[in-house]
Amino acid sequence: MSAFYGRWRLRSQLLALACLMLGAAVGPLSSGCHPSASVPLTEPHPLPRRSQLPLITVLAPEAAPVVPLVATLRSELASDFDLEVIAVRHETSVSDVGAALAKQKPSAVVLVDNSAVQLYRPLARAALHPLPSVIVMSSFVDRLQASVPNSLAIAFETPAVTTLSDVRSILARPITRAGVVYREGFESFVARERALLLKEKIELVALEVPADPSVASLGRVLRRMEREHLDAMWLSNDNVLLSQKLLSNTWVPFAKKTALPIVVGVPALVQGSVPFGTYAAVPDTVGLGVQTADLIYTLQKSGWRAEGPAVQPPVAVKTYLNVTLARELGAPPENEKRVDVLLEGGR
Amino acid sequence: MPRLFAFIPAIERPRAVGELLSEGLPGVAVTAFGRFADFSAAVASEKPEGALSLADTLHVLGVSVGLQGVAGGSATEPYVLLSKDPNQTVDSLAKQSIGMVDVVGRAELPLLLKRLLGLAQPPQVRRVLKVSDLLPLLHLDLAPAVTLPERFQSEFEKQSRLELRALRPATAHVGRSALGFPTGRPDRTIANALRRAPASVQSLLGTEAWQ
Repeated sequence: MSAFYGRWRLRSQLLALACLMLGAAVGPLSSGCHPSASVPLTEPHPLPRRSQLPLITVLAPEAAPVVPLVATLRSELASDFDLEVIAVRHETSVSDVGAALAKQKPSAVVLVDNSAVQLYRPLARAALHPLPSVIVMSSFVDRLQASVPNSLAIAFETPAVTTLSDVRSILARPITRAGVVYREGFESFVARERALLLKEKIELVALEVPADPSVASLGRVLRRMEREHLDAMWLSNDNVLLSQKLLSNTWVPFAKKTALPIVVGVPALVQGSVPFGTYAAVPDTVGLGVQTADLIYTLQKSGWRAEGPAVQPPVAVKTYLNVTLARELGAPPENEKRVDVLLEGGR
Repeated sequence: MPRLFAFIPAIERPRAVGELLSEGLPGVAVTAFGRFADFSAAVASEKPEGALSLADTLHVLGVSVGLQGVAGGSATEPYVLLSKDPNQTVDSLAKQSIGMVDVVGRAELPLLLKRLLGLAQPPQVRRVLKVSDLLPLLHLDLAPAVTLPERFQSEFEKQSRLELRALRPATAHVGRSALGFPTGRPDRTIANALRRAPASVQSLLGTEAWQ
């Protein structure tokens, strides 16, 4: 239980992501980061409701990272569906959402962020015939999706196989052994990533730290990692492992010492006063919008019943490369064309 | 300066596509798009002087081809179907899901793939935004096979240790990059810039000359 709730300490995955991304300008995980103010998700000049078309309702916090997702969904669904947004705010209650859905009568609901799922879940559980829903941009989707009847989900963590095969190609380095540090309680997550990596002939060397790791316990594991003859380090998006204290006292000193490419899941760690990661890959929110739209069409085709694989991994990623660090590792500059965002700065 | 909107599926990311085209086409204001729907909406609403994309993409947008790119004397280029399972055939793969970059929109893509693979019925398509998104489809078992231009095959295979079998149906040809004029009036500056484009641009577009 502690692992479940402790991984993201912020209430909202999206707020955490916004915080990490905004931190890019000022350094890694600066303390006191305040996510952007609310961003409206409704259209400035909404078209009138087309009564002959089914309605899709999006339940989402008004946060900047959600804007491209909603815009993409709107354009991808425009010919066959109308789309309405219910904004999730701090004061939004379950009954507010229930009343809005009763009024709108959508065919399906898109739940963006854990906060939207928390508000919608009691309604779905209480309903005799719960509306179909698609969960996106949320953490712990496996457990989350299982708790919402008639739902599908898209995970919000880029699989290591996507990241490490891409970084191997961009850096033009052989990567056959990659290291990862994980907290006690995340064994099944690591096992899944390890199995996927074997397809690319990459062995995952996974070392465990306690659920609430200290500077000393993480430091010990990183010293062990140094003796593992690795080709790369992969860091999952675990806010507990990436706390300010652990970053400053263990990860950054490790990064300064090592000659390994470090692959992370947040751009803020690739740029800043002390760039830590060499490469970052995050789910592309436009790609997530397309993937979500395709799931809506799948639901429609199946009579609005959630069938097939309950949780899909994200397919499209947005990539960030620290070119200073990459070139130090011998990456050919021509490979930079295969990266979305180029950043600079040495360790 | 005439505006050229470009939507070019490539190994390179849209940022790099835009940079390559801007450098290689002096006197033209290039905007590169990374998604068919964005390109389609922008061409329709802003009516740029030029639209550069695959001939099939322009056709779906209702924009006539003004200048057609060719290579090896051909206006079409071969595509390849890469399968993870060496025992699968085109027909058996078509009964499952095939990954492809969305170059014509969600509704038209199964029809394009049906034509490309010479099938009797449109197959299930797993559409992606970029060439680089095709590999995750195979890694994550979201599709057993993907299709892409043959000229990308070697680079694509270099990025992976998956053992892929290449299938080449005789029908697997798609029109090469083409230039259209959404305003209905040919723009000589853009056309001449493309004809004189350096090798880097021609390579990006899969062309050698324009006619």
